[in-house]
Amino acid sequence: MLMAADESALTEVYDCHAPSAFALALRITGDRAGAEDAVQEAFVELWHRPERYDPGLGSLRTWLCTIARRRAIDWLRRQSTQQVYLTRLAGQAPVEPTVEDDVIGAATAKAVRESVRALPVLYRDAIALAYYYGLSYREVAVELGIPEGTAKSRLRSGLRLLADKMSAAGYPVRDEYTPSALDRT
Amino acid sequence: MTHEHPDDLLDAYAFGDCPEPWAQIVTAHIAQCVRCAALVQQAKRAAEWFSVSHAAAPPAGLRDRVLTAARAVRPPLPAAPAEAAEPYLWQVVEFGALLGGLSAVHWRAPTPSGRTVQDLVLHLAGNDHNVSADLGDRAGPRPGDAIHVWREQTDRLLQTIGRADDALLAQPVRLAGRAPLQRPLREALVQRAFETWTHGDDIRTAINLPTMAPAPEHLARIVGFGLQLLPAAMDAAGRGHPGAAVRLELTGPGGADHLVPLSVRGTDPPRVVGAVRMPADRFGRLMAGRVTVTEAAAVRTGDRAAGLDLLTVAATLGCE
Repeated sequence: MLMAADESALTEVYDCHAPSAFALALRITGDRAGAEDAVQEAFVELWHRPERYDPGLGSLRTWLCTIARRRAIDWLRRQSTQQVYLTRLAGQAPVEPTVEDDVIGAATAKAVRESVRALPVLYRDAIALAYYYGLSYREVAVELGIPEGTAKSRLRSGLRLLADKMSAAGYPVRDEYTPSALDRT
Repeated sequence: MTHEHPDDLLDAYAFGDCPEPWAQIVTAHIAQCVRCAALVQQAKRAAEWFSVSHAAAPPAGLRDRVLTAARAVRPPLPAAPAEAAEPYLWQVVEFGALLGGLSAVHWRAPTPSGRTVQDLVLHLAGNDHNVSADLGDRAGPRPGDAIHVWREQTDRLLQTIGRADDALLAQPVRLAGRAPLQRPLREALVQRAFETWTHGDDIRTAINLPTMAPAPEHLARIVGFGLQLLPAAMDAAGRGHPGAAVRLELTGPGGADHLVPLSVRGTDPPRVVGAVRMPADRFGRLMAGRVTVTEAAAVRTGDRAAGLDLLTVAATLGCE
């Protein structure tokens, strides 16, 4: 219904997915105003160009979070203060969600948090720098004081180990993606 | 590039950090490289997990700010659009979802009419525009990609219709099709649904997807729209049978029994001379010119020639 400019569809999508997008943007920016802007841009983009969301490629939540992540990273880069990413990462307290998600979503979220916590810190940092700050292998290498090749291999190994842990917890990488009610547009 | 793996781009690509034209290069590569596709899948899955791993209540005012910003870039429909627009609205939703999934190759694919998918979408937007222009919206959408032109045009038409009252719905507007006809907006909206459905199925056929019939009540309205035009069309085609009628038994979803006069002239009530029986959705496709009379495989009883005349003329009721 977003294709037909149905505003009630937009509010429904917002209520369903804004908490995830906001939490992600906030982890990246560390700034509520910056996070709000990123979330707003994601939902406005979806409303403006609904045809860009392809359900075959993933859930609507992931799509919105992809946009919010990108906007949040761009916001962070525009800040004049030099970013010391590793310090910012270290400063992130482990956050338990403040919003009750749906039952299945809550279980997945818990599994992800536990799997990530269980990763060796070297891998976890490499993944976090690449994902939460969009750093290239070179930038990750600079942050961690390691060669670029090592940064890349830590990221890859980290992703593989994360996939193994999630698989063991019942969330395989190669899921047959089936759209859910969450993806109704 | 065939033997090289764009290995350094894969994680960035999966996270959404890969700019064009490199993103296109990766897309093309992973379509044929299992190893790289698996690495992208692994990183994409991680990104999905991170996007659901935390949730935090956004500030209370953000929802309204989002809605305000959204309205500024694209005006919303009124909360309860006119009931007469409903079949069209639903076809717009389906058509839009279909277009959203098309690849660059799909857009260039030929459709049954010979036009490419892209040209077909522009053609549809053009016919939609004729209706909104007749309602006063002369400007039309800005030029651009076919999908944007189509979506902007449907937005404009649905905005113009809004919560249309009976007076607006009675306003005469151009119908698409061979004969230069004007009919009330109420009927033209059903034709918009009809044409959007027809071309949606043209695109599905072009990209090897199964066709999709409209909801039964919408299909019934599309059929009804055609049947209303049929008696005059039969006279115009020189196949009218004054005073005669055929019982058209449409089966399946959207089906009903119709008594179809075979001319605008003659006795009232007309004399029933025969019957034609077939599924309603196939009759809709026949009307659209997408199923030939022979392919229609209708069962004709009684005056079979009269039944054949009905089908032959019904097959000219489409929008081209």
